[in-house]
Amino acid sequence: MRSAVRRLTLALMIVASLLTLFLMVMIAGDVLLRYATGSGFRGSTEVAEVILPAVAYLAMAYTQRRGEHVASSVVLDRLPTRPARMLHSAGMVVVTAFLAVLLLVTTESAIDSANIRESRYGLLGLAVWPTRILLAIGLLALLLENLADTWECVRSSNKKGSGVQVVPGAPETQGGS
Amino acid sequence: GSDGGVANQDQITFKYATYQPENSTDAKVAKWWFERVDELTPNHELDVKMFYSGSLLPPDDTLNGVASRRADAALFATSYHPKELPLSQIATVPFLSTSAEASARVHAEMYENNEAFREEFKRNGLVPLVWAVVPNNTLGFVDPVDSVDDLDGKKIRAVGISAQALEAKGAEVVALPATDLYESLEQGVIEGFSTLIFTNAVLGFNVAEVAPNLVDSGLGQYVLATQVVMNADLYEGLPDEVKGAMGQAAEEALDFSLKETQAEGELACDRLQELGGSVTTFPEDEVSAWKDGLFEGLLDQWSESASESPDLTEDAIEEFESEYLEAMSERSGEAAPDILTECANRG
Amino acid sequence: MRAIQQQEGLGSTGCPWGSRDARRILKMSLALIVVTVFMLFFLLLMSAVPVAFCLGVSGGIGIWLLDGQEVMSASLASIPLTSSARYGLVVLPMFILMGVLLAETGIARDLYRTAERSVGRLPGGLAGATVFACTIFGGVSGSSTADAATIGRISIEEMRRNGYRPEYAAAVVAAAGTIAVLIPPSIILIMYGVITGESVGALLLAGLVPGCMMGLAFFAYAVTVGLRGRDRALSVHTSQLPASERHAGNGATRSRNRGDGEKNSLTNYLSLLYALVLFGVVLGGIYLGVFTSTEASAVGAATALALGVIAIRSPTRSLEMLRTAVPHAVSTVGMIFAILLGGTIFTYFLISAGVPASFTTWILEMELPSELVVIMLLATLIPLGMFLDGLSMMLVTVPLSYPVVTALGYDGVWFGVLVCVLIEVGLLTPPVGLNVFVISGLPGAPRAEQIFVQVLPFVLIQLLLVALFMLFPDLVTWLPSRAQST
Ligand code: NA
Ligand code: NA
Repeated sequence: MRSAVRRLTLALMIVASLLTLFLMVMIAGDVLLRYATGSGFRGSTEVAEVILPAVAYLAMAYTQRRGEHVASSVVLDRLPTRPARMLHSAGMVVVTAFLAVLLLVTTESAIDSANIRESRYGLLGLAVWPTRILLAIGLLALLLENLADTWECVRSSNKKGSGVQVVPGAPETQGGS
Repeated sequence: GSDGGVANQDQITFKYATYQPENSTDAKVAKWWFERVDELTPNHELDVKMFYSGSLLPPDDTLNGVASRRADAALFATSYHPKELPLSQIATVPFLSTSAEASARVHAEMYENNEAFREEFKRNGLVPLVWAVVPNNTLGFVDPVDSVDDLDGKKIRAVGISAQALEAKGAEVVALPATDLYESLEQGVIEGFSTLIFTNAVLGFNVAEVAPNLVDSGLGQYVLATQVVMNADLYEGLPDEVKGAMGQAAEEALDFSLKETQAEGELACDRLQELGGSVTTFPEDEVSAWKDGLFEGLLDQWSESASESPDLTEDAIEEFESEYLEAMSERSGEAAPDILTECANRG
Repeated sequence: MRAIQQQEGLGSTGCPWGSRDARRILKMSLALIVVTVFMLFFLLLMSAVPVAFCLGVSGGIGIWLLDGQEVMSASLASIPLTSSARYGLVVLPMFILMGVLLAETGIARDLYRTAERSVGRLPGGLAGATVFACTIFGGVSGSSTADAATIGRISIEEMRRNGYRPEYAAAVVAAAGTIAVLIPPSIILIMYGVITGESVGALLLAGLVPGCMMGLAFFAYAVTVGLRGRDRALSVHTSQLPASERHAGNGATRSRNRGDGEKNSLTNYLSLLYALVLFGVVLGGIYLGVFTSTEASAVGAATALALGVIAIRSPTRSLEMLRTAVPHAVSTVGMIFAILLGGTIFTYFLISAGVPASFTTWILEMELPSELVVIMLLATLIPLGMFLDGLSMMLVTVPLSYPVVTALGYDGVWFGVLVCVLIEVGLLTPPVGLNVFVISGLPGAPRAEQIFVQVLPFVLIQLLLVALFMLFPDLVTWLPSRAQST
């Protein structure tokens, strides 16, 4: 289960990485082209607006896995181990429920959007619904990662042992690839 | 729930969202309309919360926002939702109308008389109550532009179907958000803009400061907008007295709106002269040559994309189109001149 | 008709627009709802779950209490897309990518060495070098907390090795990390532009002079400390130690790509050249109007990539570098957009409840001297630094303070820079500034309490500078105004 989630998260991260590089090449290329020939790509701003949300939401599960969503453990660090773990578990459960609701409503709107082939105002009239679907997929992976973390957290809060494992905003602590 | 926003027997509350700032003509008209409705309803008290500058809903989220009652009513530009409101997109076809007054009156009439047009709003859970007065598409350039042929090779910001009219004359079109215009014009990323109304170009976004050479191009209106669009369930649940007052106030609001627009237009014209700018009108023969090669094709393009909608039959589209064109040509003769044209005439 | 503005709000208990289900059932007043939402937010924050989701959950529940389940669902369905599908936000992934590429190619490290070589002979020079390196490279991840951790990993060890007291070394890193938030590109300043609608280009230029002043002030302090006594600072000059001993074994990923032994001063000076090229391309491009600030970010990232490939001089290693750097950047992008999502949900609740409008009216009606209002608004940021990172602090406070300050006639760009400085002050001040805590959590770092003592002088310098920027606003606004008139 956990390994399937990891594979999904990594796959989405790779898509997000490629899209990020594409954004860079497209916008920088637009500037260059405009400089060289006097005219850039048609509608590059619209393309960027469709790709950017996909990058952001496909990345979130990976951020969760690397432990890079900023959290503050200042209070938790001062509590005794057992209440600290219970408080953290409770927080995790609430967050998981929130992500589930978020996934549900964004999936619904992605389906509605795909049904009417929703497009955006602009030059190219680009389709918006693929972005909405990618966004929901990103949230799904985030929910699954969070579910796995919550499960581990709740399980460990019933056991005796060392302190709570929370890493506030410190990068590279849980390893990248 | 569709409890109609009625909290007490006589108090009705509304959240109104606009993406325009508080001092805009749009916001003033909406405020005036709500106040007028309140005056006309002695048995009811209206309590209105105004949310300006897109603080409650961004312009492209207005349809969903009002349908789900995140706002009860809002300023609404239909061009953000081409798939949901296919018929309304006819107003984005250039050269169709060059009178803001005619357009607003035609839209109100069409909503009364054409079922498919009415259905288009109903399907999305919306009731348009006050039709917006949208002045002509204002073009503006860093360097002077005097004829249609001067558009050749110019880098111009444009969105929507009218962009194709510019491209047909060799312009290089860039789709930028209006908020990026100033910086982009100043830095030469673009040499001109379009798809703005005169007052916004000069007063709102201040872009005439960097591109003072404005042009009354003959492209005309570019959007169908409503000053007040309301959640349909909410509207249906309102007392008859209030609904009646809303209809009457809407008619009066159109006149108020026209007067306000004229006044704002004069202010904008003063300001433009202060900036050393001016408005050029493209020669009539050039414009009609430009239109002749394009208009029918763009209109076909509109009806083709409307026919992709599962909710519309070919007949309904054709009927709407012919009624719309007929009404527009009838109304255009008697309408007040556009604020941009007025400013060009001033000298 | 009653007040057509959204002015009464907080005080009213009659729920004038609470016709929706949840409010009617729970019979909660608007004020009670707002208080509940804030309490919920801080409770979740204490449980150490990500701030982004604390904001999202409490904001979402707030919308539910205010307007019912349907409105909440509709808001949650649309906000993820509307909060992220904006062209102006492209600057975030692009500048982040630029920063990460610089770090991963080792240019940042080489520059640190160069700084160290150039000023290391001065008393307190290594601390000065840290200030210098942090100034240029931090601030692109959006979380100065994360920056402090990243830079801290390299430089604390470096300073310890050279005879600095660890708590002083940690304090230098914590403080120096805050300069980076003013020197462009700064994600926090960019986010201020996103929230308020102020020009991002103007904000980036506005941060430059104040950032340099703070850098110089910190540098001067570091040298003074070095001069004053060896008990606090340097006891051995860097140049007296062999290079291998100075730079070995600090475990950072940056060292992976390049062998440490082969360094020579030429490559180090080359890296300074690279950094200057990049800086020149990005800021020069914005200042001279070659491209917009949005485009500058992508050009910057592409330039950083090109420089990285030149610096590495090996295609396979370049590819390896990309494979590390891009996911790192993507992860940070996920972090920032999650905060943006949560922040937008929370802000939507606040606006929907009329809180910013009530707050503005309430403040303006007190008719306090306007300087005092600005000082008060800025001062509230200091205690917030106990709980929140910089970005979240901005998302929670700016929607409330910006309308007040601009209504008083102040320049929005100027206020943005002051907010940035105060946010950073909040992250440094005892009893619980977040940056200090993160650094104290690094391997080998001293306890937070010890760092706080050493960080205080830096905080005092920052506060003095804030006073200076308030007295002479031109220090902030001069550069962006120059760029606009060219
Ligand atoms: Na009344
Ligand atoms: Na920076």
